[in-house]
Amino acid sequence: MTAQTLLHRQIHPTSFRNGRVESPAFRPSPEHKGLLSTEDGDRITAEAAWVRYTTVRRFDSVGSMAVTPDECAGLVLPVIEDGGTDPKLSAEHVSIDFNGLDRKQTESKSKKLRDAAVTRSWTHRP
Amino acid sequence: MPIDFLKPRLIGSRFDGAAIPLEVLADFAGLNELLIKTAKWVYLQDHPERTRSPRGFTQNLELKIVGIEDGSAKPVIQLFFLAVAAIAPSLFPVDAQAYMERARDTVITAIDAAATGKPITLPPKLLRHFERFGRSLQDGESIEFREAVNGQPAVRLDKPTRRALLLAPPDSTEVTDPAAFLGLIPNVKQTEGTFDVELAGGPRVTLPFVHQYHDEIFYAASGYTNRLRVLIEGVGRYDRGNRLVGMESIDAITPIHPLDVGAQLDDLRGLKAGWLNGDGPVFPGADLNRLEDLFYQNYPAELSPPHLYPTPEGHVRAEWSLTRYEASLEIDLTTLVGYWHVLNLDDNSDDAYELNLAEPAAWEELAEAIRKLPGGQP
Repeated sequence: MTAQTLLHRQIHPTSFRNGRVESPAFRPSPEHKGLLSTEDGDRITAEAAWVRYTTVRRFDSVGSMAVTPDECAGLVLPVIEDGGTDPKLSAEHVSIDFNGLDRKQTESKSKKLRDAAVTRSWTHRP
Repeated sequence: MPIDFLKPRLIGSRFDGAAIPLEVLADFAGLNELLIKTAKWVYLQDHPERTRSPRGFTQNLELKIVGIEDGSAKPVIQLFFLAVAAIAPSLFPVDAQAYMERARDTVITAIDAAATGKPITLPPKLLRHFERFGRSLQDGESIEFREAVNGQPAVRLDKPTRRALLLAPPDSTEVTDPAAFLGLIPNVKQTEGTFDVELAGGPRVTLPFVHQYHDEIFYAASGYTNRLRVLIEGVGRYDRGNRLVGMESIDAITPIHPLDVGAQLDDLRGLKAGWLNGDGPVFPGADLNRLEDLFYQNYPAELSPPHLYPTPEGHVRAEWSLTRYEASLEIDLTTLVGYWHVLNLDDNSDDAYELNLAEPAAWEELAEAIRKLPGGQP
């Protein structure tokens, strides 16, 4: 993984409404212990990540967007290569760590990540 | 000389100040029809040897509203006798008057029976007149025919009582009621002359194609995948479970802006438990209705509309992308506390605070915050 590696993030249908992706798509949901799930684009393509997410894990996703470790570093968000450390995580899993942030900081950083991802546009859109 | 015949009391805020909305007058035309048909039925009950009432039985009678008294609105209905023609020589006006008065009492008795769960004696062909009479009543409104006296409860016609009257015949399966609902149009079946409407939560209903709304129907059908909704208004047909099964008439079909708050919240109404890959709660309809009302009452229409999203915590999140600003308001539907946050994407300056959206002042603060952002007021 390099500073420019694409970290693929699946977008749930309720996060993409009327043509716009919401910023919480780029912050961890409550049960994820402050860790935002992505997958290492150097090891799996956006399309393959989406196919596995929707057909193997049978979760809902309208497509993949991506941010980079460089963009996370600019926001002082640690990037953790934790693939395979937990049976629930894929081998390519990468977490973006939001722990230790207050609500206002979480809001700002997720909005910045969203802006970077939306500017890049979809990395896979079925 | 006309005689005082009926002075029902219309109860509900729409009738405050002795006011009666024009649409309610159609109900009274229905009452007129019901009373005349009931008078004929009572006559035939008295004369079982006859198969029909005398020719012109009620032609020399007319019911008229001659005034409206306060309280909250009491239309004063009098029975008028027209110049007597030799239409029904066997029936003097006084006889017709008596039958009309018995008809009035019979109808009031039927309403009382429906409201109190007693057997209803009016035959189905007369009960069908409640399709028209009482249709314009809204939730919480009623028409009182007899005040509560001496421990006897008042006799009132309201929506549940009207339903009970219409569904009293065992073979009665549907009730009509004014309907206004949002829906998507997934397809138009031109060969069958119908189109389908997908309601909030997914159930579908098939409606007759209305040529008057040809453009709106096809426009909405072409925008189905983009969730382009239409507002359909008219008279709906509801089954015994109060589910919409069709439309008796369609008065208007109006495409709705995709960011219309009501339309967006409609999507949230349809979410089932576990909507977020197994997580995510149901959004209570009453909470969404309250939020919708607050938005319509307090959020200025000239400002940029928000995009609305559900959150895993059961909150509603409003977001605005305004030039280089990202703004959001995450609303706890239970407490109505909203967490406002705005970020300048260029210099990373941000601001955040809570708003008590139960207070109009909080909405003014929100509107001002949006207004001062570039693009907040297009």
